[in-house]
Amino acid sequence: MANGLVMLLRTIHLWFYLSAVISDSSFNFQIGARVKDNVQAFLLRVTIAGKTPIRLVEDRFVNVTTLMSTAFMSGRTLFYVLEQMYINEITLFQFGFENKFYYMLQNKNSLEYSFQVSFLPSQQFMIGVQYPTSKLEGALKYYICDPYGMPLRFLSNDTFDCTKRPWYKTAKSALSSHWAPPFLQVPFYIPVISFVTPIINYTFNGTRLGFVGATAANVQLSQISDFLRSSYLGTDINVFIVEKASMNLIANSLNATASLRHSDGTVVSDLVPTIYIY
Amino acid sequence: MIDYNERRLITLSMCFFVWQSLMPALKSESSIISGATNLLIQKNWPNYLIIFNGLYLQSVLYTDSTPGIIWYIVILLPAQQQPDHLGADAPQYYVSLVASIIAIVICVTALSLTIYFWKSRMMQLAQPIFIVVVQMGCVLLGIACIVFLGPNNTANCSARIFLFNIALTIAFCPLLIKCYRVYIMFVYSFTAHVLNHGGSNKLLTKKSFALSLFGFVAVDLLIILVSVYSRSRGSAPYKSTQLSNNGAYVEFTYCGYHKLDEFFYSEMAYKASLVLVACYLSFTIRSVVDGIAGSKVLLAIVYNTAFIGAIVIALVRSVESVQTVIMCQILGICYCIIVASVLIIAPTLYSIAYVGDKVAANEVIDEMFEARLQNAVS
Repeated sequence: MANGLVMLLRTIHLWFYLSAVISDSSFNFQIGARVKDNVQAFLLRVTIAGKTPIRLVEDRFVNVTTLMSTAFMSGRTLFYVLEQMYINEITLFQFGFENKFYYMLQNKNSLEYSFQVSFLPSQQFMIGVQYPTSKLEGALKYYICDPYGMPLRFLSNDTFDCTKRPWYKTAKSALSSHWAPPFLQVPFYIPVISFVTPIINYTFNGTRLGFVGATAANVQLSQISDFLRSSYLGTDINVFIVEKASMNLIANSLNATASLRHSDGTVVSDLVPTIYIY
Repeated sequence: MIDYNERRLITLSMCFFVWQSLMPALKSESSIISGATNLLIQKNWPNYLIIFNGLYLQSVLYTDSTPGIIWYIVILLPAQQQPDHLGADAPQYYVSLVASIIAIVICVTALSLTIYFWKSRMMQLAQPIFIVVVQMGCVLLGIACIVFLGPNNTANCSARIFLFNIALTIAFCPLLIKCYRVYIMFVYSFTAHVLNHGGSNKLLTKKSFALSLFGFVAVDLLIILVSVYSRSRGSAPYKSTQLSNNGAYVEFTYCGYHKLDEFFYSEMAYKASLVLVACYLSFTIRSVVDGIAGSKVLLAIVYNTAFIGAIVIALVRSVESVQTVIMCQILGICYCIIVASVLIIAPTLYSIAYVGDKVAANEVIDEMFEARLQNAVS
């Protein structure tokens, strides 16, 4: 009798729940693990790309001791092909040295994304180079890049000290491959993270130095957001990433901006870019 | 040097130039991101699943193999919400609402017919005061069914606990009193002296009926006040974070007496004892003349109430879906009040309509005399 009543109740219960149970999209805990793997794969691609310039240097494709005299050629060898390969992941490759020698190669897509203006109408990349000088003001020169990775036209110049940048400081303090925490990339103060690798144990001007400089591959935070959006397009899944230490928003697939914008020109850093147009 | 067009474009881009800084997640323009982050911080980034704004939230701590990156990756998925009340968004809401309205309409119609035929002989023999009170209780129970719907707010929680319990007592206790009176007069005394002219125990007076009913209601009120309102919370709604049936922690709003065992069991003991006594009495008076005692009708109503009540209580205790539970309760109550309010008046109305009030009353009296003679002979 009691068993019969229990069976009856279970049947009624099942009947009431059947439709709900069938349509119930209960959370699959594996999804979290898969999203984590996806993000890891993205960062791994950046890591591989970020370590490649140092491998090229170690394999003597580029001679560090003559880097200054062959800056454009060396920069092209180290970064140009990589930048084209990882154009969706990496917005800028750069190296800087203790003597303030600096080279960077930036793709224009990220700039277009940030400012929604066709900044560089016909060329893909922008090159910046700064030779060691006692006078930093106006020493960094920007060029439009030709289709072969060489400077085509002079664009503007800027004041810049690579040794004071967060990515450089991170490499110098860590002395190993490291992720620099999110910072604002000059000259346009775009929020980025940077995979940095120190250049250590090289001879400069006849002197063997420990840390001589660093290379960095910058990932624009909006590129991580783009990656998340494209990964989960057409699904019910949304993802956002928060940095544990600062609680800053790193990226999201919800089309929310990952940066605060100060359109009134409020200065947010002491490193204010100056662009001179000739 | 750059040409004029390039310079113009660069100048244009500078017009659009905006300074940017990093965005704290709590200040995100997306209310989902800021709200979810706030909730996760409050809960110290739990590794279990929680629900926020209809979304599952799962946070995963990601530490990259290269030092420097420690991120919380938060995954959001539409959640199957487990409701804490029966709201208008559920199909059960409309089923329950329609059932309640139909039940109220039927009960009010039955009540109106009782009042309309109040002075008829058959109605007078059936003691209309009992019938009217039962039907009024049924109408109140129908209203209580509507109050069961909607969110668990202060007004609803208070109204539900009083309206349902008092209405049930008002609807059921007249049946018990009637069973008891019939039992005392026709079974317990072994003599059918109901029709003895001037007999002191002929019928229950209105005063004693009102006092008896008030006594039952007072006991009910006492149980509610002691078991629910002696606690600081009373019936006021409260919020509780619990593991829902889909594995996520959700904040539910419950009435103060939700899963309050002392209230549930004391009320159940009280109501169950009333029903059981009524079942026993109605069974013992089953052979008493139906015209006056309405014994078979009483038997049907009481056993129907007991059976449906047992099923509803079993469902309430076994099914976890609040919506299903409330719908089952409402359907059960509606069925019982329709049966009670219709059955209690149906034989009387049938006799008036098809036999005729005077003829039917005479037949009842004749039947009583025959029964009395048979009792005397035996």
